[in-house]
Amino acid sequence: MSATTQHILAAAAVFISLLYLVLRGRRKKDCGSGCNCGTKKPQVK
Amino acid sequence: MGDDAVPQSAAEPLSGLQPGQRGKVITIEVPGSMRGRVMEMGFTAGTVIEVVRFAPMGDPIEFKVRGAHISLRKAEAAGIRVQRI
Amino acid sequence: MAEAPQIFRRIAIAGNPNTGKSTIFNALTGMRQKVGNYPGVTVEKKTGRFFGSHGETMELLDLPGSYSLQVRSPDEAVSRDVLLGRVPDTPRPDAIIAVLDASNLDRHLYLVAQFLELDIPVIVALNMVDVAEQRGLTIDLLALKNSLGVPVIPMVASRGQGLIELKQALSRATLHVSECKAQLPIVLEREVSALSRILKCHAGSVRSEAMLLLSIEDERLAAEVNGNPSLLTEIHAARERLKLSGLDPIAAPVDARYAWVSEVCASVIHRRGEDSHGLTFTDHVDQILTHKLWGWLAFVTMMALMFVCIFVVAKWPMDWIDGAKDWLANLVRSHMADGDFRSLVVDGVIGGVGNVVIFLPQILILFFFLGLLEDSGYMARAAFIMDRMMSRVGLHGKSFVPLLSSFACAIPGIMATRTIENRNDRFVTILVAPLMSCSARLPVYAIMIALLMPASSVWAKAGVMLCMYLLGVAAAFVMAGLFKKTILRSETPMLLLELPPYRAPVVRGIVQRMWERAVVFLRRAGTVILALSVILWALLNYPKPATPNPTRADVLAHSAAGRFGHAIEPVIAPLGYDWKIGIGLVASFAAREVFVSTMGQIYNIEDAKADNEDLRSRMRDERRADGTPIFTPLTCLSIMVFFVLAMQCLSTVAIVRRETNSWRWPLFQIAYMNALAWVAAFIVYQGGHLLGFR
Repeated sequence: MSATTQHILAAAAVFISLLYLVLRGRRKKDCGSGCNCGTKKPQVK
Repeated sequence: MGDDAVPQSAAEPLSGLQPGQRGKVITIEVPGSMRGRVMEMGFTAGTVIEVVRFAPMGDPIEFKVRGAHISLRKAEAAGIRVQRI
Repeated sequence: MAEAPQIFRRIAIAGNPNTGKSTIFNALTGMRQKVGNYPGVTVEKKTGRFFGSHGETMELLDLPGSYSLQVRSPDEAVSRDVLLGRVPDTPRPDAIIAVLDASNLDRHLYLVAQFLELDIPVIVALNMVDVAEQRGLTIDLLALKNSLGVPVIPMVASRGQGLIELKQALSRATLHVSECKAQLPIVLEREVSALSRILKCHAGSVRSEAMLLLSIEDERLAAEVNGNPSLLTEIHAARERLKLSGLDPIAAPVDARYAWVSEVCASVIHRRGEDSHGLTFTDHVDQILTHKLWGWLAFVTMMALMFVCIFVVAKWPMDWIDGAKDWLANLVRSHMADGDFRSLVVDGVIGGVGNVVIFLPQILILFFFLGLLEDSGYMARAAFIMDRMMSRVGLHGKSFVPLLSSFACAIPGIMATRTIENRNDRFVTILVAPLMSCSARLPVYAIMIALLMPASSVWAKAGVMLCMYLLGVAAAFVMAGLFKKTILRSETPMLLLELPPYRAPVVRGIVQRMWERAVVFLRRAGTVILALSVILWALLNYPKPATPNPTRADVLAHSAAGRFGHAIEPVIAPLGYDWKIGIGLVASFAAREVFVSTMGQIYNIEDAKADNEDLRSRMRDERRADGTPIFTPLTCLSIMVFFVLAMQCLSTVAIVRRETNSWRWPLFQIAYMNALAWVAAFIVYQGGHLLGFR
């Protein structure tokens, strides 16, 4: 493998890692009340 | 306290009992957000509670309540008033 | 892929802690289990499948143990939310298996009373009937079935008794909702109905929801209905009306349920012989294990045994993993040309992930012991014994286990805080847990002690090591006390601890849990930690120096991390460190023991380990510009103190982020611990200088 190929592969790996961490941080569900609890709360009709 | 709670001359804090002694719960005045849980663990009015032992350093205290062994600190047990039997 | 089978019934298995829920769950589902997380919270979600009597597919959900639906901890909240159908991607179960301890129905039926309010079919698994029998209790099963209005299956789950009957009961074509319920006082019943009418329900039982809201303590109510002031006013008004009619809104439902429980118990339990005043096995054991003298002795012996195992037994598998890591790295080296990508694979991926995976044996042994202590019932006694000490700094007996676990690794320690009910107490414990010297600090202590006192006896070295551990413990206690008085102020946490009867632990269950831990840990190592390692590798290697064929030390010095090490030199110089140590400190954020190998790279030593004589002598010879040695005893001590107190572990940061659900706490933790470390190292170095030490 040439030095350039290695360089590109390494850069790609670093990029994917960064992307993974960023996307992971964003993937989150919550109840919509802004409380981040993951559950629904009792509501009035 | 002193509102409409029945004045019980015989009532004493649960923390005052010695190991082996038993008392019947009269009132539960544990402060804060755990009051309901103390009751749910069996410390309800009318229940008989037995002091099993004190921890090696004198606190907390182990009680036998409704067949289960539950431990509370002295300070909290003081809020439960019992009639010694 | 095979088509997903139609699920005939979704069943939740619930009950008090220590009732054998997990044993039944494991026995029913065997290896067909899935462990995940509930969204947004850090409680484990365990589901499994099994086949009913006629081959229908059933899905079983193992809920965390809870004492009540009126929740007090994150674990209990999950149980309640699932049963009320509030959890977004978990459908409300079609039936509940309520697991009860047959020898303590007086207490365990309380939760059943709440389940019956839910309007879900309930099946009672009456576990440990053998223990009840031994205690002289005869339970009239038919009478129990009739008073509860639900099927009752007697079981001895640890021996597999009653499993077939349980399966049969679960496989019935229709399951009925019981008509039996604890009768509420009329005034309360009226308020419950009124509140039910205005509640919009997700899927759960409105009545149960209304009861929970009416009888919650004021301190918790606001959080339950957040963002809903009209509901809050409604509830407050209802409570005022209850109080006017002489009812305590918190006590009334509890009293009503227990009255019902007592009534049921009176008609189904028959005691033989004297009124259970004889001492049980547990009473006899506790006379020793909670004794003023023997209790401490037993406690210290058990903890010592655990740590000997963690450090001695784990050494072999850790050496194997280390060997495998080196073998793999060499394999890659021999098959790939030198270059950036090879460096990434070898140093970033294999080295980075390997340095974390190497702690797996310790973590597993720790979990094995914790599992034994937990399942046998001893853990509650440890909390009972330790509570007085912990409460001095405003903590809870339950904070003891997480702190103890953190001696092996802060990650399982922080995960073990989930049993602490109060949020503030839990966060205080999380904040101070990494101050306990974890095993990743050991290699650093080892090399620094070797430099500090090369000629001293093993005992003197061990003494210095012990001092470092004690420094961490002292710091944890002081900081915990400080946090409790300032940012995480809360009422002194209440201790409400059940001391369950002693039981022989089911080793199979413990091993299964260890396996789950291992899978979770390895998954993290393969994802987040892998990604972090790659990025750290990039920081340690880029940008590259322009000179042709740079040495490893040149690359390090020129890299982003190296420049950072240089940039922070003015900050760390007062501690006695030069920029090279600075790079080591930056690199140790991957895992603390990386400090040793990074120092090796800086000094161009191949295969640097703490016991590497080359590295030690090279470090000993290292000089400042003025010709004085860098690694003086004072510097070594300063470095050790810094490592005791500093937050330098990305994996811990990640887990704290997850457990506290915010970046605020991990960032605060990094700030306070590193500030503390700096100040302490400064005092050691500068104070030592003033006193004439070098």
